[in-house]
Amino acid sequence: MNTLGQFAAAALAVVCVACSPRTSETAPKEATAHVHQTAAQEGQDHACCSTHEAADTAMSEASVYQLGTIWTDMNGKNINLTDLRGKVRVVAMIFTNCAYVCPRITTDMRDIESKIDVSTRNNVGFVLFSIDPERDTPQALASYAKKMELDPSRWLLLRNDESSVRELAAVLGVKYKKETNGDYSHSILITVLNREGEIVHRQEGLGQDPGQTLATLNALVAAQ
Amino acid sequence: MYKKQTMKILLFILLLLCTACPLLLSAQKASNTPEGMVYIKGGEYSPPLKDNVAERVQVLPFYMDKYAVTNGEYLEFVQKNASWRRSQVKSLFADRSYLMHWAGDLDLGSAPPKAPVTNISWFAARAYAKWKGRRLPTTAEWEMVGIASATAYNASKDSVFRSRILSWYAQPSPQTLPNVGTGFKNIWGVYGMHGLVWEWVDDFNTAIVTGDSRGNSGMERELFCGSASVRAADARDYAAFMRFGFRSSLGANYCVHNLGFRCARDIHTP
Repeated sequence: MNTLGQFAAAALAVVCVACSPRTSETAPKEATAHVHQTAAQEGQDHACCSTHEAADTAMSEASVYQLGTIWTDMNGKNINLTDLRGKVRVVAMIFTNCAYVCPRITTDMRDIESKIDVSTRNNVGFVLFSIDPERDTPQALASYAKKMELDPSRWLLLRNDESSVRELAAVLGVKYKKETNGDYSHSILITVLNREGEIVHRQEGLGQDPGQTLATLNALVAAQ
Repeated sequence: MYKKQTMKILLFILLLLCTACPLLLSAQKASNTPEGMVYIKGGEYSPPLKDNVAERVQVLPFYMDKYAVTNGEYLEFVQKNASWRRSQVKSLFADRSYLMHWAGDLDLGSAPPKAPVTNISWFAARAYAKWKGRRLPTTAEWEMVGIASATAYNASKDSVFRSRILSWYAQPSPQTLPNVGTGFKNIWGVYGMHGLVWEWVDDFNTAIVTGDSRGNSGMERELFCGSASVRAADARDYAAFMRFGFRSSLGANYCVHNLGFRCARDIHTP
């Protein structure tokens, strides 16, 4: 038994000696190799690093569509933000599990939809961006659209990963925070984007008089 | 006798395997730490802006840069990524102050190469981090590491440490920033979390604090206003308040002369 103890000690010592130099030698190489690989992969598909350079020749510098991120709509179809160019849009960020504020943001947007001039209405798109990547699947967005009676010819509901959501929130000026119960606290903000995707008007807070927003939309569409 | 010998050898091999396994595993972990980064084993972090309820955020293990990203390092990035040069960056991603302390697109001028890069937007910092295969730390990650003094992982109750941070906040930033790695080093082995520059975090737009968002958010009770410290989980941590206040006043394209960044990275378990 005593011998066994000695063996064990020796074994431990051997393992230690064998491992430690290997560790320090290979550490930098492995780490660097991995970093390069990841950087190369991500450089290709990340919006603000690459697409930003390639796809925006004619796009306004201040267009939020410059983010170029790819979102998924309520039908599971992929849509690049740049595809949203060419139409005046009313946008907001919500999550469909929201019990109080988000349905009211949506209601406020529907209010805008119903009150704009009939000639303007079909030239305006309404977009809800989800801030909840986990729960807002395309199916969840679809059932929310149905529940809220959103006209699919005018309304678009989009989802994306956490990083892309945060970027969009950053450019729209929406602040949000995931609470420990999985719900979100977030700014109540309805934004009007012109055809280029530039922010031209913001309606803040719930139940605001949409007069200014309506005037902006009518003017933008008229300026066609 | 012979049998006993065989048994011993077998036992020896078994023991060797048993002791070697955990050792090899831990060696694997250490060898994966990327260059210039520190392994942060994770823990708990309590945000200061909560209604008396001490909320605890669980921070998972991650890697964090030892130093803030320097002018020299950022120069390499813009050399290889033309769209992030001063003359080419889009206003959506960086305002007019972007890299204004440099002499030109690819010319640091009098900016020391080893000093932290500042006048950098959130988008720019993020793009750099992506390019390096890294990311920006979250608020919780940054604060959990930032709360460490030279001798304790959680020095939030250490009044000497706290007043040292506050005295730095009270001083104006010098025209030319000192090199990274020359200042305060905490117990994690991370340098310059305090005393050098303010730093971007990935979720800077989490806190709803600024005047312009007041009244349009569902978290007004958490607002950073005159009475905020009354509701704080730990009213003594005024420095953390200041950081929250500062972050929430930022826009994603803002470039500020004493605001830089450092990167973090996930632990990839194969």
